[in-house]
Amino acid sequence: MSKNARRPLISRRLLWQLALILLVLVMLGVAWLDARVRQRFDSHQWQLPARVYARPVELYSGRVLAERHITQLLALLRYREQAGAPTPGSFSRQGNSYLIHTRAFHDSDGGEPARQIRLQLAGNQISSLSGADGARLPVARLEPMQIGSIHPGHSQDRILVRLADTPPMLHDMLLAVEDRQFYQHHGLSLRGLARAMVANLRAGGLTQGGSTLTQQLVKNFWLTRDRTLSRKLLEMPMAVLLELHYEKPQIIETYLNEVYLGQDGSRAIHGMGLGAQFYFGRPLNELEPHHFALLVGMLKGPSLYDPRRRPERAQARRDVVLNVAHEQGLLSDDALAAALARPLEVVPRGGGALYAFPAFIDLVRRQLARDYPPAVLSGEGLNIHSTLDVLAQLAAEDALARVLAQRDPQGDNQLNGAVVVTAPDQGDVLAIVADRQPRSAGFNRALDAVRPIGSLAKPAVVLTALERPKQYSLATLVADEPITVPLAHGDTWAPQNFDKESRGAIPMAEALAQSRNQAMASLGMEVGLEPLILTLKRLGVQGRIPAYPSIILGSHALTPFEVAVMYQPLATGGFRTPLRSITDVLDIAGQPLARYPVSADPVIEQGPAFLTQWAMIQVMRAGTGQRVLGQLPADLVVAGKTGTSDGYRDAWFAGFSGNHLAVVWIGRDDNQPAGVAGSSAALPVWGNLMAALPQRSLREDAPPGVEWVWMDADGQRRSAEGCQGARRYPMLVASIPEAASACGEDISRGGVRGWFRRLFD
Amino acid sequence: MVSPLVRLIALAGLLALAGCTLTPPTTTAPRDDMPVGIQDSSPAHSLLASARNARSRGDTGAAGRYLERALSMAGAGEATVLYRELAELRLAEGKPRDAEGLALRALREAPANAEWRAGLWDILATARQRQGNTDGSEAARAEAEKLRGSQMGAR
Repeated sequence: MSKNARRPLISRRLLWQLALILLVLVMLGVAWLDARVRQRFDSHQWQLPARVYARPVELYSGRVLAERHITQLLALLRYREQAGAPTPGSFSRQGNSYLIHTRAFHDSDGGEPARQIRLQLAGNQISSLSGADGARLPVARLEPMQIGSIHPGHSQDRILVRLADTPPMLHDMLLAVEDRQFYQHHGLSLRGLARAMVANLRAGGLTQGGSTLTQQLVKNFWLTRDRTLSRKLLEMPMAVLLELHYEKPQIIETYLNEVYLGQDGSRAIHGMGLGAQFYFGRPLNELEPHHFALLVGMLKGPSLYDPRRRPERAQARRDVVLNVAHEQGLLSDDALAAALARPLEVVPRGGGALYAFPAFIDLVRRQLARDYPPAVLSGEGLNIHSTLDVLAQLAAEDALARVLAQRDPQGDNQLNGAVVVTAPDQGDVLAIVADRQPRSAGFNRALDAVRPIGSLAKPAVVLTALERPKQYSLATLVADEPITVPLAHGDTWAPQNFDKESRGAIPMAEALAQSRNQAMASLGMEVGLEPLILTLKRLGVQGRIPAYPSIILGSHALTPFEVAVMYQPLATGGFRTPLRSITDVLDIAGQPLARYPVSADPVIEQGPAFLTQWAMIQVMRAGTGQRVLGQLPADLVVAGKTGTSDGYRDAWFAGFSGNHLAVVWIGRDDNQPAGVAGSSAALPVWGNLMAALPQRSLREDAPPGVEWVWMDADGQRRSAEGCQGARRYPMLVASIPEAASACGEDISRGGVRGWFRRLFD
Repeated sequence: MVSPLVRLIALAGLLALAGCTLTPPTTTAPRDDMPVGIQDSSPAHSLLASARNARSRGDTGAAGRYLERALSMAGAGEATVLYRELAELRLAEGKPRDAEGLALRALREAPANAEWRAGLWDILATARQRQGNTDGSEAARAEAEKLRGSQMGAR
């Protein structure tokens, strides 16, 4: 034998060396896997979108509430009708009496417990509110409705549920079906693996995984969904490592929140918490065994067993799970029979509140994008409390739809509209409607339809004049006569009145109430375009306003939302309060991150603001707004202004009470003549809407510096009650003339005696 | 010219009403002690109580939220109370500019009650002082004193 032949092909030493290298490589690999497993698991980087909530609905005795609105509200919140309202999220009804079992919630005020409340409606308002024991309740709240989720950076969505809050039935069913040895094995189940191998051999390929829950979690968390051998080889050591480091409860809790349960457009539905909402429209803890069985059954193939697209297959799968649960002793015979008899009870996709208010969510998105970088919004599970008042929103949608259904029932005239509702006190945007079909997300007319505001500009003209009390008061006569204003390039501006007539000299208050174009044009030209532009800017109009005379009559174009901004100071007696759609941003643990508190910035002096508001009250009492009066309570004091643009293209109404401001626009998207006028098209929407909200009257008592004065018809001299043509106006002290008419002089000099003398002369 | 018979009837009628309707109906005597407050039966009442509780335990954030909720359901004459509370809260939070705006808002909503208005001018004076606006502060203080003086005079 040669020397070489005696030697083995590979020396033992080399073998040892190779083995050592291999061992080191394996150890390095395991260490790397270990680090990967721990890092991901420890950091718990759930991809949680920012969730947007409406404000909780406040119920209190005396609140206006139409029966159809409480019905809509309970449906949106997915309350189910059940005798005796036994569990949270249920209600029962007898005539106008509702027993509602509210859901508990936690918010920045501390929240509310789940409890039964009894609510009585009478004449479109809550006539009484009490607890289950009959004791009067001052205020009760329904939980904030989730109206949107914002996930710019990814497309996963989930609602985290702690193991302690997971219904035991769901937990037990999951183990019975997916991994009965879960609490015994260490990540791998040889029995399960053997069973799967037999099945695979029979099928001639990889059809069954035989994976434990731990392996499934590893697969979902770190690996692709392909069934390849290499994935399997990685999955097994990772599962064992996971079990080495973490307790069983942590693993199963993570599993429950990680599982993939379906797709909602681009949004991936993860976890049982969101699955419950997505398929049943209710929180997990309100579900029953047949619901759990469907969720557990779907794990085998969320698309294959999609209960919306393949209800029969899904139901068969659900029934298999129910039978397994019964075999394992989780369900009695009766419970099994009862569960099998139930339908799937899956809610229609998109029927809930999550997609109900796209126009409002659009506003929230824009405000968030202004204040937060995308990274914060993308995955940190922020809770965003918005100002949306669901009842105001429903009322606004309803009001617009009704009027458009009358004027353009088939949509042949392509009439559409937008509504913005705010609470001027707080600057809260309560509702946004941007389409006659409010659930469809498209062109946001409320935020983006830029249209000439027409006569909505006139209060700004009046205000500009009233801020010069030595020159003007509401009694000042203005010329409602043909006016021709020369423009550049030899053109002229010669506005016409709505009725094509001229009334001559009329008081400023009447010019506004009757929306006289020529009178306003001459007043506007007198006060000057630049001061008018400054007033518009103080009221909150942004951007450049060109100094054309036609801006006096509203040739400047704004969106309905911008009109709401502009009318805010008019509604509040001179205060600018930034409009907000968000009140609070909380982190995932419920800790406040940002707060948008109420503020009030005085931009108009109290006196002129009061006078302008009073003049706008006269619009409603005796002017172009008076046809709405029958729709509202007789003693409610409201103010507003109609607006119609050239060629009846745009119908506007902007008006307010003491606690609500609403702007309505109606027109066509292509800006063609729509045959609509503010008083006939937009005003009825406003009236319908305001009638459905709890209202507070505007105040009519004069603030300091303002006095009530009888003025002569000439607008320049004081007069007295009973004198011919005398009218009473609120006036700034600086406006009150020294001179009085003969009749007025007589009475004021004689006082009570003069009054008597006149009677007997 | 009015006939003597009509004069007689008018005079008799006026004598019958003497003492209560001799002054023309529009000139009501100015009052400066109109009631201010929130009634127990108002839904805003319990929220105001919660706000005061929250504030007393130092949770100004929660107090603000209760007041804002109360504002949304306040009846006529109640808003001034809530704005005043909000203004005081903002002062306590070290936000005098916001406090000034809210106190002005409370004044706008305030009824004819000299003592109440004087109190609001006091808040304005403090808010302006803390913003370094000494003149504005003094003017507000003077306004408060004037109101208190007029009230004394009225008594």
